[in-house]
Parts: sequence; C-alpha cells; structure tokens
Amino acid sequence: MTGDPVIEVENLRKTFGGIVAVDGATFDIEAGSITGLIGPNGAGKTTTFNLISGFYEPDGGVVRYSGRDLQAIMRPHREETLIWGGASGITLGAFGGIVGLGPLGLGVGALGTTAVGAIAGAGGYLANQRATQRRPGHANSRPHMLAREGLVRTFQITRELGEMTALENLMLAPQGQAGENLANAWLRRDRVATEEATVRERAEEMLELLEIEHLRDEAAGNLSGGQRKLLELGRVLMLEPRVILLDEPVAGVNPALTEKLMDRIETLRDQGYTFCIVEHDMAVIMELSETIIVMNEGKKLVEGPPDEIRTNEAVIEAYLGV
Amino acid sequence: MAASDVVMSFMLLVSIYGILSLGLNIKYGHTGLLDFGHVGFYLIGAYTAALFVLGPDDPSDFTTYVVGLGELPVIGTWGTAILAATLLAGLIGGLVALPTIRLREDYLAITVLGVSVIFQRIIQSESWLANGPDALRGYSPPLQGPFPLTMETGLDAALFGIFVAVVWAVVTGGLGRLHTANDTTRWPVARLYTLGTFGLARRRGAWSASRVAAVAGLVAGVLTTALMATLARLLAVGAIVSLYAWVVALAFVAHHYRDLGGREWAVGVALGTGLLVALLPLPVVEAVGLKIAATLGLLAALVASYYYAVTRTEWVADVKLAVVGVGAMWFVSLWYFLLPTLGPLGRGDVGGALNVLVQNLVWALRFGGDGGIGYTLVVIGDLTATIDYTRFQLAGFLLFLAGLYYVLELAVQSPFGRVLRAVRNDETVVKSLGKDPFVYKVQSMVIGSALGGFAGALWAMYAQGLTFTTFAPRVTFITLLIMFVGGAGNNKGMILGAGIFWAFQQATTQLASYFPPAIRVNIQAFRLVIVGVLFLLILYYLPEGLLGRDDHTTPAETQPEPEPEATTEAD
Repeated sequence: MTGDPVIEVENLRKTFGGIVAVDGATFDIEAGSITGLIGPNGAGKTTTFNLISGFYEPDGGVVRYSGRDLQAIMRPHREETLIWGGASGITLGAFGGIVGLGPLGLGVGALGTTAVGAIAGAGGYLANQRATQRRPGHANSRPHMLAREGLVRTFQITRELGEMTALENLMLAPQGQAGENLANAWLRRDRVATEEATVRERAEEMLELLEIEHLRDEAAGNLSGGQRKLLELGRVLMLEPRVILLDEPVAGVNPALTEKLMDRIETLRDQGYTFCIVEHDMAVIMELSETIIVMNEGKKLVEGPPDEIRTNEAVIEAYLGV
Repeated sequence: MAASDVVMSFMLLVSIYGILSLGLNIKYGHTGLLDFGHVGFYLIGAYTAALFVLGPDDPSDFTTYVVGLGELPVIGTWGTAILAATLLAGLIGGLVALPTIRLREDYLAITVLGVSVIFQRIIQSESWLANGPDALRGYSPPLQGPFPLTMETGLDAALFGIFVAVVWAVVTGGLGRLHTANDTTRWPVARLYTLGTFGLARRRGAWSASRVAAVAGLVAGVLTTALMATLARLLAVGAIVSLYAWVVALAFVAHHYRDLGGREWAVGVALGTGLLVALLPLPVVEAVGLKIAATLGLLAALVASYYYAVTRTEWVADVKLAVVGVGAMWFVSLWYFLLPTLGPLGRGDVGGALNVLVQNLVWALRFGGDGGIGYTLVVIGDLTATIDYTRFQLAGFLLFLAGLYYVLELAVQSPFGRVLRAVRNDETVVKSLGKDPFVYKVQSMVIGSALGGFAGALWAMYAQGLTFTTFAPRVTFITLLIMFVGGAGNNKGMILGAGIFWAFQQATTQLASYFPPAIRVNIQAFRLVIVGVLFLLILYYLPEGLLGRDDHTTPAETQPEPEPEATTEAD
C-alpha cells in the first residue's frame, strides 16, 4: 500500500488576523513513509501541523485523511446533535414551566409555557448549529475524532500530564478502554481489571523500549525535556495509530538517544506506520525522510528526496536568505 | 449532656459536609472544574427531598408549596426522596454543565456562582414553589417514632440491631483496610479482625474486604436483635460495640503515626496539653479583659514555641504536621475523657467521675434523660441507658458516607478517574489522545452535583426545616475550605477536612459560652474571620492540603498479583 497518499493537503490556507500563516499549501503524505516537513522559522510548519491534526480549522482548502475530508470526520454525529438539542429543550422548557406555574398554576397554561420553552430551546440550538456550520472555518473542532481514526500528533512544546506518573501518562492513551466508561468502572470490575493489567503491561514495555522504565512512578512534570519527548512519543505509540505527526521529536534529546529514536521510527515505518515529522535538526531529517517538503512563507517551496533538497537552489536561498 | 452526645451531633454535620465536599472534590479535585455554585445543587437536593416527604399543601394554613408527596405510599418516603434529590441534582448539574463547561476555569466559576444564586432567588421569590422566603417545614425524619428505644417491643430490638449492624460494618470495613495495609504495628490487628468478622476474615481470598465487613455487620445486627428480643442486654452490647470502635480507632492512630518515635509523641502531647493550658484562663479567670488577654497571650506563646521548634530543630521540622495531629488528638482526648470527670473528682466523688467516664466511653448509648433501661453498677452507680434518634440517624449517615466514599474511590481509581485527572492536567492532550474532554467534564459535573443533592437531602432530614438563606454562596466556600484543608483530589481528605471544620465550629461555640452573652455574638461572628485567615494560611503553607493528592502509583510487576479486591468482586 506504500505509495497511496494517506493524507492529501490541497490549497490549505490559514490566517491569524493580518498574518497569513499558511497560504495555499498543497502536498500528499504517502502511506508507510516518513515525510519531513522543513522550512525557516515562520514558514507555517506548525500551523500546517495543527491543521492536519484538526487542532485548527482551515480558512480555505481541504485536508483529506484516507480520502475523507477532516472536517467531515470531525463533524458531530446525529446522536450528539439530538442530545444537545434535547438538553437545550429540557432546560428552557423547565424555565418556561417555572415561569408559567407561578401565575397560571398547574394546568394547560403552565404546560403551554413549558412547551414554548422546550421548542425555543431545541429549535434555537439547531438553528444556531446550522448557522455556525455555514460560516467558513467555524465547524466544531473536535480533534479527538481524528485520533480515534488513527491520526495522532505530538506537540512542539511537550504537553505532559505533569501531576500524573510516567506510567499513567502512557496508560491513558489506548483507545476504547472499557474502564473509561463509568458504568463499567462500577459494574464490570473484573473486565476492567483484566484490561487494566494488559494496558499496564503494554505501558511498561513501552517504558522499557524508550529506556525510561526507571521513571515509571515519577510525576511527568519532574522529567527532563528529552525524557518528556520520549514519553510523548510513547504516548502516541500506545494509541496504535496509522499516521503519527511528530513536532520536533528530537529537540532536546541527547545524541545517543536520538539515534535510538530514529531507529525506532524506522522500525515502526517498516511495520506500516506513516510519519510526518517537523524537525530543525537537518541531519536527522535528511537521514530519516524519504520525501522532504520544504515550506516557505506558508507555501510549499519544493518537494523531493533528501539528496535533491540538499542541493536545491531555492531551498538554500530560503534558509540562508541569500 | 455527655461529651459523647456533643460528638454525635457533630458527626452528623461532618457526614453531610463530607458528602457535599466529596461532590466538589470530584469536580475540582479530580477534574479541575472550579464550581463556585456547588451550593445550588445542595439546595436542589434539600428542597426536592422536602417536597417528597411533606404532606399535601393545606391551603388554609400559612405555608404554600407546589406539591407534597408525603402521603403517597413508597413515593413519599425518605428513600425515594433522597434518590429523587440525587437524580434531580445530577440532571440539573448536567444541564448547567452543557452550556457552561466550555468556559475557562475562572469564567466557569463565576458563571456557576451566578447559577447557584439564581436557584436561591427562585426559591426566595417564587412563593408558590416552596413557601418563598419563609421556612419550609412540617415534615419529620424517618422512623423517629420509637426513639428513644426502651427495648420493650420487637421493633426496638430490630432498630437497635440495625444500628449495631451499620456501626459494626463501618468499623470492620475500616479494620479490614488496616488489615490489608499489613504493616508492622504492634497492634494485634489480624486477631482483632478475625474476632470482629466472626471468623469470616478467613474468606478473605474469595471475598473482598468490603463484603466481609458488610456480612460481619449483618451478623452482628442479627445477633444483637436476637439478644435484645430475649435478654435486653442493652448496656453490654452497647459497651462491646463502643469498645470495638475505640480499639479500631486506636489501631488506626497507631498505624497512621507508626513512624513517630517517643520524643515526637512527647512533642505532640506537649502541644495538646499546652493548648488545654492556654485555654484554661477562660473558665478560671473572672474579668473578661483579663480572660481574653491571658488566653491570647498563652496561645501566642504556644504558637511561638511551636514555630521556634520547627525552625530550629530539624527532627521536629520533619514531623511538623504529624505532631500537630498528635497534639490535636491528645487535646480532644483530654476534653472528652478527662475534663468531664474533673467536676465530680473535685467534689471527691470517685464513683461519679467513673460514671461520667463510662458514659463517654460507651458512646453508642445515650445516658440519662427520660426513658431507657436502668442499671446499677458497683462503684459506678446508676445509669439509665437508651439509644436516641441522633445516634440512629448518625449510623445511617455514616453508612451513606462510607458507601459513597467506596463508590467514588472505585470511580477515581479506574481508567475513568485517570481520564478525569488527565483533563485536569491538560485538556489538549486528552483531545490529542482521542478522548473527548467535554464528555468527561459533563459526567464529572453530574456526579459531583448528584452528591451535592444527596448531601442536601440529608441536610433536609437533619435540619427538619429549610430556609433559602441557608443556601447562600457561603456554603460553597466552606466546602472549598474543607476541600483545600483535606487536600484537593483526595477523597479521604474530604472527611478529614469536614471533621476539622466542624470541630473548629464546635470548639469556638463552646469557648464562646465562657463569655457574657453580649460578647458571645461577637465571638461567633469573629470566627468567620479566623476561618478566613486559616484558609489563607493553608493555601500559603499547605497548597496540597493536609493529606495531599491521592497517590495513584500502581504496584510494579515484581509485586504479587493485583489485590483481590479489584479482581474478585465483580460478579
């Protein structure tokens, strides 16, 4: 399946006030490959990342994951709309009831005010939702839907769960844990316990793999910058995703560990994972990537294999500003 | 009134506020939702419960309320009332959460504060709903009729059986936890556990500690009922239950402070005694000005010497909180056991002193008053023993508190609780890991608010009358104080915090009684200031609270199998 684009970016555009951060970027990320995304500071790499991972909504253009528009994947399901509309209806209905019951007493009049409130609540919610969906760039941003579909990211500045232990950070990640449902946590404790044991085992393996098993019970907030990078990588791997977006994965990691991390990423690639990496360490990006996309001023400058990029005139100019 | 009676009514408040704080702890301590409007759900619970048990509104009297379901069978009982209060508060908590929960921490706090004030205003101004600004009363707590028990009927025996069953189960449950902790105290915990569980402890492999405790309580209750129906040995059974609880409590203290050496204990005892001495001028000195000056001077000297010891001596600094704990317990023991006997002893009446001592020791029974079974004991003299309604009610409240604590611990120790803690730490991470923080925040609001409603229903039962002024935002802030004192994110801390807060309230009320009535009012008002200052000190010196956040480290692979509680109790 190598060769099929798993992520297609088309004319992507995002502005912040007057600044155009991404301005019509277009590129593909092939399944089972490692794609590097480089560019000078302010080229729009991280913004592109946030757009691809669903954390930002584009002002224009489209990102497709496995052929489906990201915005469509993230759109609320019908059930959610029903719950929200229903809840709004109940709330306003109750208010209507209270307002009506006072002067009118228990009877048709109070029922009427209740009904008016309920209709106003539910209708208002639906109308509001319609309106927001029509406004460009204002669809509900729900990036967790993407993670569920196997598209995950890490953060440039690591976001560890500081008060939780390293082990807990990893154990949080796996999808569809039965114990995350409160009813199961109360009523199906045997199932949850068994599952929890499996998850813990996997998390401990991951800690070993990343060689931070001695930090198992350490609060993540106490880890060093490099250790946090590792922990974050471990966390997304625990999710068993298809596509992993890594934002500066080796920044602050020592050379020996960087080597190991790169090996690990290549092994995972061989197992079928797809990577997209933003990184400033040229040696790393040149060695890892099969394709490199160079961005400048919000646009794709060039795209090609590392050897080609190394010698490209436009790239040298963009980087050195000659 | 014996000291034990004071403690009983104090414990009722601790249970109510413990449950209320557990609710807020789920919201803030575990999920990070700063809810300044927690009292709103307390209000909903209280009024809902009251409307369920009130009889139909009589239009000819001066009270009006929208509906009184009290005369309906089943629906009009306290059980349904508490359930409905919990569910409704939870539902409304969820509905309030839907629009507000997307707000950032401080904005959320202000918004929900507003919501709680709206609830209060609705009660106040909609006089058709729940009697408006006037008190809503006219209902009574459940099963109050037969009290105080005199053991003349089978019903009396059965009620006493229920009381013993609950106390026994709660105490045995605590002992079971102590037994699981399995450390090296000198207390014969294992033997005591075997005894307290009637040998059921041996089923430990197959049963969880909670189930062993529940069954042991049941056995104790049935035994008691049978014993009462045939022999009416109220004093003997009361003494056994009381002593069992005392021994377990002592074992708990010994376990908790097992790391303290002799000199640390001595410092603690000295602190406690010092506090007692510092308060001595209050009853002894006559002149008000001198009284205040002497007490404040001695208190200042005590605090100063503690501060000096903590800053100058390293080994005291290491245990600075533990010695205060020991000191507090020593002080309470002196107050509970020693002070009541001083009066009779001063008159040279040893028998009378022993009599008072027995009354306080056998806390499960109420002595004196009208009704009850009379006993005459050697030296000690006459005792009239009975079970009053307060104790019975307390058993129920403790059962609720213990049950809810257990259920909540299950929730926060599960993967669900892990997601909640992750949401508190960083929502973006939770999103990036494919989990919707919104769903968890709403669930947290629902559970927390439902607990608030539960506490409200218990308050309605306890207070036997509701006024809208009770449900001012003040209650939320007291609950916050309790949470921060105990340690946000630690369920055990909520019970400790509630205990400390109400102990402070009780103590200041008692101290105020040594002053002339005109000053008394000022003292009672002034204590809010003291509470505020204490709150600041806690936030400054102990931002994690007394117990800190709960420890969620899991045993490493080298440890034996996951504890049986997690795996065996799931059928």
